[in-house]
Amino acid sequence: MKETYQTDGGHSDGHGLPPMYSIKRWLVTTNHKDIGILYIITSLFFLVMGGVLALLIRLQLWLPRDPGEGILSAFAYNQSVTAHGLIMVFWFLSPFAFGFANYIVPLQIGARDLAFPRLNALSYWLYLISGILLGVSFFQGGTFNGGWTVYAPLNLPTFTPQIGATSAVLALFIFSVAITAGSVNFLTTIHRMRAKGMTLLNMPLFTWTILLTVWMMLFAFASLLAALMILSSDRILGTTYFSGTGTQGSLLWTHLFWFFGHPEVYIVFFPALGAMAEIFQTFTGRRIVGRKWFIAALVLVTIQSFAVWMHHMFLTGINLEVKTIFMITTIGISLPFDLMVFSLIYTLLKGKIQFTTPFLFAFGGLILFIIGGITGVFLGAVVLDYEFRGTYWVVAHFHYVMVGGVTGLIAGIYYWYPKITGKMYDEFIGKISFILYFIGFNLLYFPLFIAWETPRRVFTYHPSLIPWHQIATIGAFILALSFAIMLYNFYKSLFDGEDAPDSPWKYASTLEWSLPSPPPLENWEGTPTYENGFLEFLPEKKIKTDGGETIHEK
Amino acid sequence: MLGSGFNFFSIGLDILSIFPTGSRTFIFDQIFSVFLYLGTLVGVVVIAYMVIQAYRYREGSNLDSSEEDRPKLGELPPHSTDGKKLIKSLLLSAVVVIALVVWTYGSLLYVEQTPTQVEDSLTVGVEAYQFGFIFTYPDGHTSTGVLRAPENKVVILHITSRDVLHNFGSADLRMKADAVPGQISETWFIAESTGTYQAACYELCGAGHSYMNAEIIIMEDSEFELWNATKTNG
Repeated sequence: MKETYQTDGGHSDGHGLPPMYSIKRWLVTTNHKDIGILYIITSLFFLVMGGVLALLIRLQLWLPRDPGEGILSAFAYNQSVTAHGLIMVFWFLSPFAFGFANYIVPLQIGARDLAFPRLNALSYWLYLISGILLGVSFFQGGTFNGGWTVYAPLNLPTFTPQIGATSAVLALFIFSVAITAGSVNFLTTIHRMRAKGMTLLNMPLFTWTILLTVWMMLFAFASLLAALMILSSDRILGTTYFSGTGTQGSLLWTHLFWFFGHPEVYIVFFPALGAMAEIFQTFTGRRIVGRKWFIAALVLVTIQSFAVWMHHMFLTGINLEVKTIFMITTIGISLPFDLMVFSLIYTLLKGKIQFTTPFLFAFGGLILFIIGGITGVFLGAVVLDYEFRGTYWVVAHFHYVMVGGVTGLIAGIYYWYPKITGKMYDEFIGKISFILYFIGFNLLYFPLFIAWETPRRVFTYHPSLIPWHQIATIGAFILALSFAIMLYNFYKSLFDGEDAPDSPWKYASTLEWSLPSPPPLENWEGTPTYENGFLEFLPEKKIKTDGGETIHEK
Repeated sequence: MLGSGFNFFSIGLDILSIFPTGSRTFIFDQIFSVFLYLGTLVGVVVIAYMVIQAYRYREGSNLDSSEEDRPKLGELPPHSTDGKKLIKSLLLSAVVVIALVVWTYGSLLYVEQTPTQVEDSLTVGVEAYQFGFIFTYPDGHTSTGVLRAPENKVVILHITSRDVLHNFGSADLRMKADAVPGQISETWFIAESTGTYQAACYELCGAGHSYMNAEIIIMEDSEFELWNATKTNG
């Protein structure tokens, strides 16, 4: 990092990096803000890709179909549901959240960059390569078509012989490597590079959720990576770990997958929760009620998340004792979430609430999450779970939770847009996009609760359910329209938006809002510190005489 | 009607009689309706409370108190003191959720233990394959795609798979279990009226998954006996 101090002046475009309008800049950059932007834009491309697949699925479900009817063949339909799940969970949700994490977390804790900027760039490029490989896999005889859970032995070449299926597995493999490298980077940064006086408990809630997310990633993705290594070996080298004839293979996969898969639910949801908490605080003008408890609840969920995975396997023939244990842990993990929801709701009281677009999305996201949470309790009762498993009840429930999380992240993108671009988004178009989003979302997912008897991942269903599926399809297009309007807003505002002040929000409290919008390449002159209980920037001179970064002083 | 099929076998769970027992359709419908009623109530109350409070405390409303200490840029979060209300709400929600799930646990035990406790039952083997189901009766007779059984009798299914992970379930009969290759999963159902019920595979298993269906034909006892006797001849 020494060379960053050798160039003088021109903080906004110096340090040998080409200017922002040059393509080369984006290829060579290791700056956390640049990489944050790369993550956000790339993940939005995958959102569109996963979204188009979702629209195809919804069109196919307009009517119950016979083989060969509708716009998708049976094979294409299975590819669509699989790739839609994989893209949304892996290539959109987490990278979208980590776009913000890259940009915002170092600013919030007073670090000049992530601990390992080059490793950070590597994570991004591996992510992009893995995503491109997944896109290519569609043209290699078809991509993987056995569901996003990649259950064994359907994941073996015997049953999914397409080269594209192998590519998809390799893409997941590369993605997991990228995530693991990224989690190590964030762990080091957040634990070692905070400004003085910024203790763990003092950290902003968004940074808290990112810290816990990367801890979960570290352990959860280890399990997925192991499973994918074995699977790649089976698919490429011809080993038979997940062989189709024994019970061991399929159950081994389900354990390895869900040991990853359940924490993954919180991995994608936590950053949204953190963003929602900050947005609630900023736009209600009230500090989060029971902040300590909120953090304690987050930590508790992080630990408990590794003890609930077998509730995805209640029908695999596990014995009653194990079912009982996992029923208890599952109910247990819902309670910290109750606390966090109450905390957000009570923050509204005595507030001075400004209904800006980010607040509307955060508020709407909380409503959707509450509905997702209540319908999740149904699944926690094992007797009900027996019947709901494999049906649209599960589909509707996790879309309310996961896309509820997306809602929180969209709140985040509106919230930080002025900081990142230096321009204000159009508030009126923003509100229109929220209204369409909220209507579209509920039209899309709520009827699926009513039509819950539809089996998952099929396009034949009972004709009595046709109206509900048609409402859902209409809702899907309204939701898609709201995304188009949002993207238009961001694109248009980039050129003719008003210039954003340092903090456009009256009650923003975290460090990033004390910087210019957008912050200069080096974030700030001098050294941020909270040593005296509030934010100060020590003069730059001090750094120069010390001859290095302030972290070394610790 | 519901209890009638059950008087003749002891379920050993009399103490748990406040939990729904009986056919799986009955158990599910009872529990589901209680969950649905309570869930809707809680959801409506909580969301209405949120929306009302957010509206009441909007900027510029008459409740807007300027004396309140607002967050300031560059502050460290001060110690929060308002956790009591939070913990109270948490305890309340915990009591509701735990009570609900404990209440259903008795029914879970009943569902789990029924196959070992009934005296008069019919056991049928189910083998799933890409893309269909084969049913094997106690006398070795097999049929593809159609399962026949008498009404008001516990039918125990031993489910397995020939190739990949499948699932055999019937939404009509509220019964479902995974078909895992190399392993037998046990489940059961009881049908209280004659007719044709739909069954399907509930686990993505390949290109034909959408059409991997079966029919469960429930017949009157005498009719079933007749079919049972003649099928071996033919």
